[in-house]
Amino acid sequence: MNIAILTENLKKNYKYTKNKNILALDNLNLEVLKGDIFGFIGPNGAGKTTAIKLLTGLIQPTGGKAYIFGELAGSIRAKKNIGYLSEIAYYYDFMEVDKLLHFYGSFFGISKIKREGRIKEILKMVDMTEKINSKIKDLSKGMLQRFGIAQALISNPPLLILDEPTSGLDPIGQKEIKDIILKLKEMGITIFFSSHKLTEVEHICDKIGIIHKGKMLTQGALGEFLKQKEPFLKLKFSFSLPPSLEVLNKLNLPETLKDNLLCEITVHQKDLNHFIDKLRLENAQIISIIPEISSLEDTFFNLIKEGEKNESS
Amino acid sequence: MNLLNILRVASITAEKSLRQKILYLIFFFGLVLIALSNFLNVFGLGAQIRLIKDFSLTGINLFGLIFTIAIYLNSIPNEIEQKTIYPLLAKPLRRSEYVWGKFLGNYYLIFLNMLILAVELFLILKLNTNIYYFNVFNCIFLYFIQCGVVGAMVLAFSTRISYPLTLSLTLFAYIIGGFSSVYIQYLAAQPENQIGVFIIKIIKDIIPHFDYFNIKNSVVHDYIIEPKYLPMTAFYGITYIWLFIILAEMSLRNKDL
Repeated sequence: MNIAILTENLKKNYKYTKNKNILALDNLNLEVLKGDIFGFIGPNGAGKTTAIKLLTGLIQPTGGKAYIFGELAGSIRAKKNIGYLSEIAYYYDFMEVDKLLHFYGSFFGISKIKREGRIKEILKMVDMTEKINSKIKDLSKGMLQRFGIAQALISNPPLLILDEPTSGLDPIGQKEIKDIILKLKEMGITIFFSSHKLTEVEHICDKIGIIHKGKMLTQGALGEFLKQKEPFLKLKFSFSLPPSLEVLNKLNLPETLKDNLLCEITVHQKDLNHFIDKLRLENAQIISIIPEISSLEDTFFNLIKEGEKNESS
Repeated sequence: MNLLNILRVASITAEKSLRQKILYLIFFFGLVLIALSNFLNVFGLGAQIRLIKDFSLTGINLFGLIFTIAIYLNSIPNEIEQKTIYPLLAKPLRRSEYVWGKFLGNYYLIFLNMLILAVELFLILKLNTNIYYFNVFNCIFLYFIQCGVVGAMVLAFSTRISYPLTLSLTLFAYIIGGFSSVYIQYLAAQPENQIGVFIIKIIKDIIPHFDYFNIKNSVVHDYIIEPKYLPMTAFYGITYIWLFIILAEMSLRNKDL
């Protein structure tokens, strides 16, 4: 089975009163392949946590189905293949780190001796070996999140589901968690994680899905979203002397660049050679030519805007 | 169902519940009340022993029930509210195993609480009379089963409804269920109360007959209890416990967390 996560028209409707319904997830179709690092992104309230809760069996779908390695999400067999980290750490705070890890690990039928070895291994991986005997309540927020990853890894699961793993952490904490995820990526674990931090997703993920108001707007390989903004290029060049108005006019450059030694402009690909020739004639020096790449942020905002436009029309 | 999973949840439940200071307070009051009964000496030794038994058994029943309600009332709602249930139920653990674990973990603490109180009463009686009053254990055993029924009922209610409503419903059920059949017959004989009596009769038919678990009078007066009575009543209570746990399980099964 090459598919780690598959959802078919997954739907979740929260019914509060007779007249108050909230459609948190609307026919979500998702496919995450084994070995993928899938970033599930969307603004707050988009339905990310709802989808994750459905995958882990914490809530029941109103419609549709979800499968984890071919097993129905929420079933015992599906849960055996998942390591789950919730958005905020909720653990028995009166317990010690190793005792709680033993406790969580025992549900996977791992023998005590094997668990001991595994606990040492994962605590080393998340860099909290020295906290093995600390009580959960004495851990800092960053440590707690690392513990969260450790408890998710206790059974050595082929799939990790992380709900906003860097949420509420300071930049150092965020970096540490990001590094741990990258380490796990190298180990070949399939990771499905939700976030609204686009740079984080850009750094870590191979594939992404963008969700907004319960609907999946798009999904695919990260590269597709970062493709070149055809056919524009960013050209950086410098003059040995501040350019006069005449030179600027010759080059079709705005007058505001007068007296600037260093200039940066965007040119169309077809005009590039001609423009460079003109620059050379003016003794300008080319510093760099970089194709304009659309960032994930661009894609994200365009899709969200488009989605909202469609909704209002 | 995986028995080991149930025991795992039970053990952490007991450990967690032991952190509730209110339980120590209830236990302490029970302990003091029984100790105080030793000083009830008004009508001579025979009457004093009956008084000690009556007073102490009433205390064990009362504090046992308070302890039971206090321990079960927030047991599952707290885990849902504090979200400690998330990492747990994301593991290969069935919700039914979770509910049974919650029930048994707390029931174990109730057992310890009642055992200590029972031994205290037994020793007081022994010190006063030099006689072993083993029959007090029969009465306390049925109180223990009764606490299980009340606890399972609280667990079933608390998974769906709010804490004040759970408390009110439990107390209502306990009071109606505690009406003796003789009292219901007496009420039925009053012509002006017919509708009320009819409703009470129906409710009493559904909810457990808590009066069955109370053999205090027989124990206080050293009446002989039919040998079959204890196992039959225990079986009756365990059946209700099972039914309420099934109810709790069903209500938690489809609950969105």
